[in-house]
Amino acid sequence: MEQVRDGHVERLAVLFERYHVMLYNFFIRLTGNTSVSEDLVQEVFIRVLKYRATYRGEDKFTLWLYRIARNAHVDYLRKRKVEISLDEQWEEAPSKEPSPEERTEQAQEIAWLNQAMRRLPLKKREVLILSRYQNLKYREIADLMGCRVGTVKALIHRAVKELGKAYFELSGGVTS
Amino acid sequence: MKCTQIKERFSDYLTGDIDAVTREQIQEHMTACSPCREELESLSALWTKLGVIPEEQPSENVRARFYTLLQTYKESPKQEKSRSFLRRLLPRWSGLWMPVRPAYQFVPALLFIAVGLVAGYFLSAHLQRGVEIAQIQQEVSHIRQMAESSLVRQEFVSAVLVAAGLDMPMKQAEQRIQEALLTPFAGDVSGVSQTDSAVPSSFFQDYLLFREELAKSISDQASPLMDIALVISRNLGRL
Repeated sequence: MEQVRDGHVERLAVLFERYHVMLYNFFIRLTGNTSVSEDLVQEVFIRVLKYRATYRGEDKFTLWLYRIARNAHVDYLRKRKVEISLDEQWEEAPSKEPSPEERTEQAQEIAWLNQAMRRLPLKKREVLILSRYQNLKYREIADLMGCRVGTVKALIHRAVKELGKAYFELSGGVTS
Repeated sequence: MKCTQIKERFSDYLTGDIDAVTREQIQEHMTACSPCREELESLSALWTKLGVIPEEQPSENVRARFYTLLQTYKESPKQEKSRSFLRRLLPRWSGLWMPVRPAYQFVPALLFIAVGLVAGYFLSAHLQRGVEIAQIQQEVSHIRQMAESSLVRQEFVSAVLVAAGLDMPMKQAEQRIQEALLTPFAGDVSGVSQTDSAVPSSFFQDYLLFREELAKSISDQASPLMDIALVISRNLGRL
């Protein structure tokens, strides 16, 4: 990233190849929408180019990237004029019925989990994704979200509990 | 450990970010407390279940769009050149003292405000003193002008010379002052003797015309004026 910052913008291709799938999965779990997630990945790399001079070498690059990704997502929500506070933002889950392929046991579980995930308020969903899928440490999540480590731990606990309830409801009490 | 304390550690247990001692404490508590055990088992099962959601791959469209973007950016003539040195330097420089967290950024902001207030206070005091000095200088200049014009009107040549002295250097003296100085030497020199006590010798230096006129007047006068000439020559040195 230092090379990109210092003017070798062609080196951004290396960073794209390394991180775009990670970012796409962050967004797809956050929004549940493939085209929006792809747009957001593109937006992140536009911002990396635009704000590359602000990158400080001492920061972990992925943390800086997630900071940009979070801001891009917040701006996307603002553009959509979601009139719900960001802390309690709630994206409607797609109400589609499971496809025939999804009718297998695992596919069904994945569908329920995804739907349950989207029922979580944005902050809890974000913490859960960053911790469970993006493998960030408490300290890193706290730094990203501008809160304490204790708050992150509490949010993870509550997020998993709420996710469990939502999953239970969606699955009709079926737990495998 | 109480249940509330144990539950605070559940997220540590789930993420695996836990030391061996705490893990052991939790497991001990689980054997004795069935509500906590049931909750943790449920959370753990769900946490594990989340792992079945596979990583998804974006379409090739993402890659194509990125490389188009990069190519366009590289071909843009403005890129990099339009960024001034200061614009590139400023974020790095600010990174040295500005905390990353917005919550902590108010500390340097307050510091800057305090420095600005103190600097403003001292600067205004300094400017005030400057204005006062300028006023005093103006008043002194007025007094000098008044004294000068008053002395020039005196009939004694010494007074006229003192007036001229106020307007040093002599080369810049007004024509009327020069005339007033030279008049006595051409005629009545009764007032010339007073120059001995009133005018410093340095006054006559670099003023050739004055010296010449004075020498001419001495040679034209009767013997009592020789005393005066001697007095003046003592002052002038080179006359």
